[in-house]
Amino acid sequence: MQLTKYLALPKDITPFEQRYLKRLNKVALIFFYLHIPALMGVAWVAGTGPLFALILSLFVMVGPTIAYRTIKHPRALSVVYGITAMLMGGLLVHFGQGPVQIEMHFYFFALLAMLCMFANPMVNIAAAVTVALHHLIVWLIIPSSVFNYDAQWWVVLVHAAFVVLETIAACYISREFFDNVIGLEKIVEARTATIREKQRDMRLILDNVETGLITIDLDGRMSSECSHVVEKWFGAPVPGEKLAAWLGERDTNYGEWLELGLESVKDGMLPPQVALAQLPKTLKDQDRTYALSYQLISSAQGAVEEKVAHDRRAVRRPAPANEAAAPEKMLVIVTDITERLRTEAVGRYQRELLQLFQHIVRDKAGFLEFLTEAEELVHSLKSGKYADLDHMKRLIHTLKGNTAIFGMRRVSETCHELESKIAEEAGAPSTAEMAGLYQAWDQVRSDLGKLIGEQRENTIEIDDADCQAVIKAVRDGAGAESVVRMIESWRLEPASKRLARIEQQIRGLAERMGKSDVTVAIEPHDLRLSTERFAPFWSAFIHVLRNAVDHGIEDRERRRESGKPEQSLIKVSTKIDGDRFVVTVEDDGPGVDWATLRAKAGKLGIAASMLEKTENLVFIPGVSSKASVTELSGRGFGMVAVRDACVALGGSVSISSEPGVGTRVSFIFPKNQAIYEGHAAASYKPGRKTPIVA
Amino acid sequence: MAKIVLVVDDSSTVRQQVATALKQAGFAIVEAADGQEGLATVDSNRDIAMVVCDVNMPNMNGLEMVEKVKSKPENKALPILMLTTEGQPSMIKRAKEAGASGWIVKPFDANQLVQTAKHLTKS
Repeated sequence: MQLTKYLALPKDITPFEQRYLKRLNKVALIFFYLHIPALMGVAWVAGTGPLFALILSLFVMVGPTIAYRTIKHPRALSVVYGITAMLMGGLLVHFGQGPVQIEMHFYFFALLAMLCMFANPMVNIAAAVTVALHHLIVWLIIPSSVFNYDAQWWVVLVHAAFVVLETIAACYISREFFDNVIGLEKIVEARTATIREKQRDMRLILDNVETGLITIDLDGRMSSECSHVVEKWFGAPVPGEKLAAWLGERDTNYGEWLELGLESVKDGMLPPQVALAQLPKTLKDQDRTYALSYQLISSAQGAVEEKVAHDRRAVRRPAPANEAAAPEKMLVIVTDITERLRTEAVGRYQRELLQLFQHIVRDKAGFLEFLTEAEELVHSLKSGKYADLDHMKRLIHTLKGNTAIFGMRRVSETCHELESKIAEEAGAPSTAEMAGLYQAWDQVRSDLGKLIGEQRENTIEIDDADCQAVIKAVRDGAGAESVVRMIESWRLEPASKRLARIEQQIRGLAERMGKSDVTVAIEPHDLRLSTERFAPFWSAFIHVLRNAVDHGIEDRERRRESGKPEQSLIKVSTKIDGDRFVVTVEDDGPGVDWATLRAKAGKLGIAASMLEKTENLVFIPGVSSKASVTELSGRGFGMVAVRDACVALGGSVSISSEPGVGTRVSFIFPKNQAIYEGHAAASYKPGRKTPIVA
Repeated sequence: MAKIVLVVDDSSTVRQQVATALKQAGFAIVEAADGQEGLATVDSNRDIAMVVCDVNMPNMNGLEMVEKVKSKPENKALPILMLTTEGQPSMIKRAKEAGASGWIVKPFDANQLVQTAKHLTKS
C-alpha cells in the first residue's frame, strides 16, 4: 500500500508541473521522431533494411502521436513516452543486428535513466514492463532480434536483473525529483499559505482587538505592525520613529518618562524587572486616559514550528532548554481606561452623595449650616476676598476640614492637593487649579440643592417635647411674654443638638484617622444658642476637634504604660459660668508638646517676645507639632482660624495642658442675647425665669 | 557584616518604610532628613554601601545632593537610588546624568526596592 502511494504521485498537479511536463512531452515527441532517420541509418549500416526501419518506426510513432493529440493529462502522456522509448530501443536492437547488436542494449539502460526527467516513477515502471515484455516475446519468437548469440535463459535473467535494479533506482530518483524539485512550488506554496494564514489570523487579531499593541526595539523605535486601535487613537505610527517622541506629542510628561525609562532598561543599572516597572503607566491625551504596560520579548518566545503536510519533516527552532534568550524587543500594551475611570468616579461620587444625604436626614439644620459656611468660604476664594496667601491658605484649610467631616471627599481632596501645591511652590495656585475646586464644589452644591429642596431658608424644626412644653405652659397659665420667649427660643439652636453634631464629627475624624479607642462625652448644659451669630465660630471649631483627635488620642499600649484607661476621652461642653458663656474641649491625652512647637516657631524666626507666653505658640501660622501633614490635620493654621473666629465674637481663648494628663481648650464669650440658658421650652417650669438674658 | 544604606527623605514615614523593607532584607540603615544632612552623612561614614534619596527635600534637594556627592572622586562608585513622584522627569534626568544609578517611583514596591538594593550593592 505504502509502495503504491510512493510510486503513484499525489493527484494534485501544480501549474508548474503542468508547464514542465507539457514542455518535456513536446521535446520527447520530437526526440522520438528524430529516431526515425537514426534507425534508418543504423539499418542501412547493419544491412537490415532502412525502408523497413522507416515503416516500423513510423508504425511505432503512431501511438505517441495520437496520444500527444488526445491525452490531456501530461503525466499520462509521459507514461506513453516511457513505453515509446523502450519500443524505440527494441527497434534499435533489431535493426542493429550484427557485431554491435549487444551494445545497442545500452540504449535501454540510458533511456531508463533519462526517463527520470519526467519525475514520475510510473513512467519508469511502464518502461521497465515494456522492455521486459519486449525481450520475453521477441526472444521466444525471433531470438536474433534481441541477441547476437545464442543466449541462455540465465543470460536473459542477468539482463533482466540489470533492468529491475536500475528501475528501482530510477523510481527513487524520479520520486525525489518530484518531491524536492518539481513539487517545490507546492512546498513553497504550502509554507506560504501557512505563513499567510498565520499573518491573516494575526492581522485579524490586530484589527479587532480593543487593546493597543505596539512593538518597539530597545531604543524605543516602533516597528510597522501595530493593532488597529492604536491607529484609531493616535494615528498611523511611522515605523522607525521613537515611541517616546510619537506619544510625547500628546503627553510630554509621558514622553519624557518613557525616554528616560527605556534608557534605564537598556543601561542595566537596575534589575530589568525593576527598571521595567518604572516605565510610565499612564498617558493623558486631552480628555482620554490610557494605561500602559510593557513586556520584554525575545525571539525564542516566538520559536517557529512549521509543519508542511507535503514535506513530512517538521522545521523546528526551539529555544535552548536552560538558557533565557536576551530580550530583543518590547511589547507595549495600551488600554483606554477613560470610561473605567469615569465610571469609578461616578460611583465614588454617588457614594459621596449618599453619605451627604444621610447627613441631611440625620441633622438637616447642622448640614445646612455647614453648607452655608462652606459656600461662604468658596465665595471668598472665588471673589478673592482674602488678605494674603496665608489667609487664602486658611480659607482652603477650613474648607478642607469641613468638607472632610461631612464626607464631601472630592472637594476636600481637591483642597488637600491645593494646600500641598501651595506648600511645595510657596505661591498661590493657578486659576485653572482653583477652577478645579470651584467645579467640584459647584457640582456637589447643585446636586445637593436637588436633595434638600428650595424652601430650606424659612423652616424651623421643632421637637415634640418643645411643642408639648409650650402647650403645657399655656395650660398652666404662663404669661404671654413668657410663652412668646419660649417660642422665640425655637429659632435658636439647642446646644445639645450642636454638641451631638460635634460628637459625630469627633467620631468621624477618629474613624478617618484610624483612632477608634475613644469615648466622646458631651455636656450641653441645657442651653440654646444663636445659629447665625456662632456660625463662623463653629465653622472654625472643627480645627480644635481635629487637634484633639489627632494629638489627644493615644494608642492603648501607651495609655496602659501611663496607667490610664485604655479608651481615650474627649469631652466637649457648653456652660454658663457667671456672666460668661464657655465652650470647652478636653482630652486626657499626652498634653501639648511645647518644646517641639517652640523649636518650630524658633525655626520660623518668630520673635522671642511672642514665645514668652507659651499659649501663643499654638496660634502662630505654620507651627504644628506634627512631623507629617495629613488630609485632616497638621499644617498649623487651624488654631489660628478658630482663635480669630472667637475674638471676632468678643471672646478669648484659654489653653491649659499638663504633660501626660491632657489638654483643655476653653473659648470664653460674654453672655448676651445670643445665648439662652435653660432649654427654654422643653424644660419650662412655671415660676422659673426663662430665658436668662445677660 | 550588614551593608549600610543611607536613606535621605524629609518624610519620616517614607524613611521608615524604606528602612523597614531594607532591614528585613538584612541591610543596616542610617537616616538623614534632607540633602544637607545626607551629604554630611556620606562624608562622615565611609561604610555606606548605597544611598536611597528623595528628590524634593528642604535645605538641599535630592538632585543637588547627588551632584555634590558624585563630584567627589571617592564617591564615583557609590550607588544612589532616587525616590520620585511621577511629576519630575527633568530632575531625574539630571540626577542620572550626575551619576545616580536609577530611580523608583513612589509609592514604591518593597520587593522591588530590596531587589534593587541587592543588585546595586551586589549582595
